Formats: sequence, structure tokens, C-alpha cells
Amino acid sequence: MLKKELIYEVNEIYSEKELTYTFISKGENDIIKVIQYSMVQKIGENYLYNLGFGDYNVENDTIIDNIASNNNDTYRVFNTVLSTIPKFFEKHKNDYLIVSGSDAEADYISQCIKNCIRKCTLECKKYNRRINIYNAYINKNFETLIVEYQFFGGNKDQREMQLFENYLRLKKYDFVLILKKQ
Amino acid sequence: MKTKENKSKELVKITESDLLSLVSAKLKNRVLFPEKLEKIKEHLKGARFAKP
Repeated sequence: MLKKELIYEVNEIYSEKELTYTFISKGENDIIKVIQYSMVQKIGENYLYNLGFGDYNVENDTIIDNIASNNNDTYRVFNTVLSTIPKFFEKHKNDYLIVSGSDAEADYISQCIKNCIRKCTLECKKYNRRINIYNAYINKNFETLIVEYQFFGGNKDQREMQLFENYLRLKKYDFVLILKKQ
Repeated sequence: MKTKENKSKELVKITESDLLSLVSAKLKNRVLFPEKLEKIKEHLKGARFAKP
């Protein structure tokens, strides 16, 4: 499904609580990218991990996950992130993975509008963009993916609580929960 | 009069895989997205599954 030539080579660091991958995005600039699966909490006998993704700044040793680097290699970067998900499940066969976008928080729009060049009027075009890309990928490859994985989609209900349901193709979700089928 | 000597940082060439190994060593055992983890925990408080 993912073409190897469209994936950057990754470097893996594995510890008990975190699984981290680094790679270099080679678009207009060389940018070091970091993917990290970190343990959130225990669910029954298993654990829930979060997928985090951002840019690493070598000079000040910091991670930035709330801006788009616009390096003209979006899909190769996205494919690289996706390519690490099966690697995660190789190590965490029974654990859950939660995916959301760092551009989905309530304060994102007010931050984004400060430097907006898109002249957004009714709604911020960048808001929720990352989770929408994940949703689009799942929707496009749904039949193939459900052979190996189980998906749940999460949105807030009327009481502002997260409500997860079996993933419905083409429905928009704020969170996607993934479990590998045994 | 002696002028102040400006020393620039010495640059070394390393391969991309060596660079990633160095970065990996720096990132080992570090939680890199702590704010996001906290936000996820917050979002998951009271989360439930809909009955099919």
C-alpha cells in the first residue's frame, strides 16, 4: 500500500514507555522529524499509546508540533509516519493507539490567525488538517486496512465527553483509536 | 592595538545516518510531546464507547 520509494528511512529508539523514530525530511530544506509513541494510560490489561509527531530543532533541542513546516514533501512525510504504525504494533500487539492532530485544539485557530496567509473567512483551513489527512487515508484504504486493524472514531458528545464508536467511513472524527486484530 | 579575535564554531561533516543516531541518543528516554499527552488524558476523562 505504501510505496517504499515514497518513505524516508527512519532511525528507531525503543524503550519501555516510548517508541521513537527520527528521519530527515528532504524537501526545500532538510528538517529532522520525530515520531513518538508514548504511553498514555492503562486500559484493562493493555496500554493506550499516543502518536506524536513534530520537527526537531537541533540548535535548541526542542520539538515543535503545532506548525506546518511546508517543506513540499507532505505526502512522503505522511507516508513515513504511517509506515511506523505497523512497526509499533509489532512491539505492542495488544495495545491501543490513539491518533489526533496537534492542530485540533481549541486555541489553534486563535494562534493560526496571527500568521494566516490564506485569508480564511468562515473557517480556518488548517484547523484539524492533520487528523483529516489520517481520516482520508483510512477512508481511501478502508477495505484493506480492516483486514488487519480495528478502528474506532471519537468525537465529543452533547456533554462534551469523548464518545468512541466503530469507525464509520467518511465520517469526520477528532480522534482515531486503532487496535491490531489478533 | 590588538583586535579581538572572532572564532567561528568549527563545523564537521557527518553522514545523515550518523546525524540521526546522534539525535536519537539525545532523545532517548525523553517524553517529547508532554503537553499533547496531558491533553489526551484530559480528553479521555469520561470517554465511553457507543453501543453498536
